[in-house]
Amino acid sequence: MTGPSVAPWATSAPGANSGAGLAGGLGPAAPERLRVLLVEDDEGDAFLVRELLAEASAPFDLAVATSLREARQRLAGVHCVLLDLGLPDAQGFDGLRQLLAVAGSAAVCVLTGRFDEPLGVAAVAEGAQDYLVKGQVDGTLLSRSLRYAVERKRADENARKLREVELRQAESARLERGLLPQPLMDTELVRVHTFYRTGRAQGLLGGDFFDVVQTAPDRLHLIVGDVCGHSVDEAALGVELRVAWRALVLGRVPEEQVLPAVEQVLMSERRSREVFATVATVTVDLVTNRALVRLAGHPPPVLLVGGRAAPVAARGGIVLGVRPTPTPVTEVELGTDDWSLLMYTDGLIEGRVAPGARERLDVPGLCGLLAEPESHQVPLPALPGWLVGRAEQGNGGPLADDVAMLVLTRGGGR
Amino acid sequence: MSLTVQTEQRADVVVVSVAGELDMATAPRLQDQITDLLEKGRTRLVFDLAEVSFCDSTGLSVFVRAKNSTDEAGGVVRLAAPQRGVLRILEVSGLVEVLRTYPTVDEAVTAQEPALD
Repeated sequence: MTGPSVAPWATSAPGANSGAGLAGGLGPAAPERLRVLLVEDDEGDAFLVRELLAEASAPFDLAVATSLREARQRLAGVHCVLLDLGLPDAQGFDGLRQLLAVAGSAAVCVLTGRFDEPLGVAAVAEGAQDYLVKGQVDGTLLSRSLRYAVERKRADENARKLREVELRQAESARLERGLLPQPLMDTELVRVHTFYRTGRAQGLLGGDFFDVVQTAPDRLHLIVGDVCGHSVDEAALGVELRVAWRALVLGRVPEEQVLPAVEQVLMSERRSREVFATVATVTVDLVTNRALVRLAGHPPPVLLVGGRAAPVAARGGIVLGVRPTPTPVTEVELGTDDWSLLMYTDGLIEGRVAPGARERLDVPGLCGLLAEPESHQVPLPALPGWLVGRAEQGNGGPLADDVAMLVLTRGGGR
Repeated sequence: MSLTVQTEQRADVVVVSVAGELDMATAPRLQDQITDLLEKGRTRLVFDLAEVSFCDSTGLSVFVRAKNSTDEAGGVVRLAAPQRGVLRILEVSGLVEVLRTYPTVDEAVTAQEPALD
């Protein structure tokens, strides 16, 4: 007699569903249609669940997987998984853990047998959103449980994402303090203006860094550097290199030994062997207005003096971390008592010269911007910001990479 | 930005023709191709850069990584036909000393390795 008694119900069910859909459509806030995946090997139980949902006239799309393996392949787009804890291919909690591991944003409810209620409680502790006991559920309770499970999962997900963002921001701020320190100097013969801007590609920091250390009344050391790559690892490595450099300089290590030591730190601390860094260092003698410039794969600083802007004519060596070689040193005449030295990372000069153009700004383009009459009106502390603004204007949007800049200024500054 | 990568066996090397802009957004695509080639035992690589209009430090690190891997396997990495801007970044970075660079693909394909690198 089972057959005939079921058949009329089965044919009436779609009518009941469309009725609910209509009613829902007229209401002020139609409940969202939820996609539910039932993981159940017992046909009878699967039938029962379908019947209960129909009875509640609830807007659900129900799909049935008869094994955990099948369920894994059908998870896409599912809002809630209803898992029978008694599946043959994953008895009890193994199955639940496997499913939780791959469920992503889908909520998970478990179905337990009538005498296994403690299992359900333990399943929730394990990470399931809710449990239901077979034979003690009616349509209304089932549909409400599924809906609540989905809402609870969403709230949990949002809280988790928010926490992740908070952690990332805190980490970013910590790295930023490490990469971009306060200059360590007390001379009033020169001033230092610093600037940093993250690239458009990510909210996180890249590996750009700078530092300024004074070791004698007339002696100032500056560094600007860039670790290739753009993850937290590179930013952290940038901090290490910057701190290593500062320690070596403060420790009065002979100048020609500083970069080789920094390179050793890089090669022993980096995550993988292709990671390299470019740096420019300048040691300024404030009495003679002369500087020793070292470039390891880094574009040259630009000297502003006598109304002109030009890259310092310093010989460049290879980046740090690829083939350890002493970085060449060049002595540069800074000139009179009115000059500025602009040190920067390549993010500044990698923008396009015009929107859509292939050509990039590069060092000549940078000097071109500094030669514009407008640039002479910009106060020196604001010059880095103005340069980035002009570079972005040419680029037709934010620069892709991070930009770090240092301006060292003496007297009138140009 | 778009980047295309094509490979072709020539003599005893694989010529990897790269076209477009090589930066932090596109470099992973080239890296994937190189990883593929290395997994297939192809360790003699010539990169045809004639159609590369831009390369940043992330792009350079892909070549450094390829050089490290092929060195270990007894292979080679050679760069060919870089445009002015790309040649400039190779020079500024000093990597032109490590990544052998040739004016044309033919020269890179037929180049003889010096006894000692």
